[in-house]
Amino acid sequence: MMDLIEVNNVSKWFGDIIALNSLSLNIDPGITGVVGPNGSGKSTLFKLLLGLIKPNKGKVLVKGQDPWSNHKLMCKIGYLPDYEFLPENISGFDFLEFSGGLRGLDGWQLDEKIQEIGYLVDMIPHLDRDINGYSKGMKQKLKFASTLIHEPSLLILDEPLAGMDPNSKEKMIESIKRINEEGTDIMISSHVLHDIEKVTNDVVLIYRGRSIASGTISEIRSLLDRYPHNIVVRCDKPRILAKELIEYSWVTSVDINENHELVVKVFDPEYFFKVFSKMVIEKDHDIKEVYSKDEDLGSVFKYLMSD
Amino acid sequence: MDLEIVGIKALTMHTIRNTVLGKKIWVPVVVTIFLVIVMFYASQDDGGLALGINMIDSLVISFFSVLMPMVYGTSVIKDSLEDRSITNVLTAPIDRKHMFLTYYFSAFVSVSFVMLFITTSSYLAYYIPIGLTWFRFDYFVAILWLVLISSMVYSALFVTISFTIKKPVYFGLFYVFVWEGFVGALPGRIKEFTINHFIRSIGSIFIDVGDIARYSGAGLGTSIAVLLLIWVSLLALGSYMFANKEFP
Repeated sequence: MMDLIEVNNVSKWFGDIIALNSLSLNIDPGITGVVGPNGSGKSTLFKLLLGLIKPNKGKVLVKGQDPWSNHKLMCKIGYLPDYEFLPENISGFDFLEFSGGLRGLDGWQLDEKIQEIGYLVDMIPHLDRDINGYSKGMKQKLKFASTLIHEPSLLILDEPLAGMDPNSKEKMIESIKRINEEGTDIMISSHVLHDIEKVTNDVVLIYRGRSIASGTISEIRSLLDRYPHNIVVRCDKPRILAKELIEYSWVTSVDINENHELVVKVFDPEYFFKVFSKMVIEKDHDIKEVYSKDEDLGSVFKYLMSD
Repeated sequence: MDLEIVGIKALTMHTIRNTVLGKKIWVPVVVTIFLVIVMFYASQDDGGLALGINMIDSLVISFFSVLMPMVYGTSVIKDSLEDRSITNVLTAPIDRKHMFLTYYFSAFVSVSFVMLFITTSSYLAYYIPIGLTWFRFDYFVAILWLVLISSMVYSALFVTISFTIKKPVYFGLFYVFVWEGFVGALPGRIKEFTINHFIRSIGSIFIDVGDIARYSGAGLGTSIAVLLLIWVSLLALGSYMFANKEFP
């Protein structure tokens, strides 16, 4: 079966900045999550898939076609960018009418479609209002509605859940899943793995313009577990604590950084916190602060990159 | 109807509405008020038909017919690039070359509409006070044609530069005031390198009163041919550059 998307050894740079670095990907039909920290190249990848930019090196194929200068392919794609792109001084209805018109819909067919997607994104009561008065979440819903108006077979959603309240987020996730069940393939990006997990099980990890891992969420998680976590402990006597900790087999290494903090490397941070709290009470250590350096996705990617 | 034609129609309507009724809605209002006051004041002199034509020649044909396409033409694509609303257009199933031509056509229609309104108001502000017996309909029609030709050619120039250079307004101001305004007014043949030279040359054939009638320019055929060549070249260049431009 033909891949939905083929990205073959693609590099893209803007002046001195390398946005994508020999990126290769094969995306199958279904929902695929693209996860990576800010600036990792997710949006650049999407813009290449839409033909908004062209690669400096390598080849991109969407549904077997080169997207650059291929306006006919756009009939099949709906795109939700991660930035604000709504025009000013226009009502929600007029914006959807404009978006539908651009994609070849007019007359009763367009009016019917606006009603249908208005219901889907729960925006019917607000469509007559000026966009300038919309909240961030409402704008996001309207943008999402505009991507669906021409019934695309591929949806490219760049950070669609960003800035939404939990309730709207849940509804958006429901809508995305329903649209996929009706036969639309979806690529969705986020820098929050947890958000993607609610939408799909298939994930591609991108970091510094490279695909560093791909597979199911559980495969990615087991991959992450192969790398130690850094836990920082701020205390009065780091040397004594270091001596005690290094005795444990589950501690990979102990180091004291330039701030005289203890940096402990462990494979199982949950187990560490359990044992460490008991140890502190038993031996009466004066601990000021304990925190994980790896709570941000960026650190996790750094681990994977060092493999 | 063909999918792309529906898209082009939607883009045209949206762009014209945004251009004429958008942020710049005050521009033609201010310009019209200014010109009506100036023309009315001029009508109080005893200048007759010739003064009215000279005023229209200096104010409308030589200046605002260049300035207004600059104001609208440089912003028609630039504004949607700045607020990023162009993303919605670029991801529509419309050929990029047709997109550019649609933007151009929308700018041309908007500029023409505004300029016809400004010109008619100015013309009437002079001829109503001095008496409509002085009103020459054939001159009025000729002036409207010159205004339309200006809108057509200058819009092509300014829409093309609006996305190809970083500061199109600076270029536009330089072009309007220094090139068309200053260089175009110099004695000698240097003014032949301005677009306005050919527009006034056409005017000199159809208007036989005032300074424009004595303007020694190119013949009608040459002027039309040169303007057509410039127009087609600019549109071809703009279409090509828009089709090959990356929009990161």
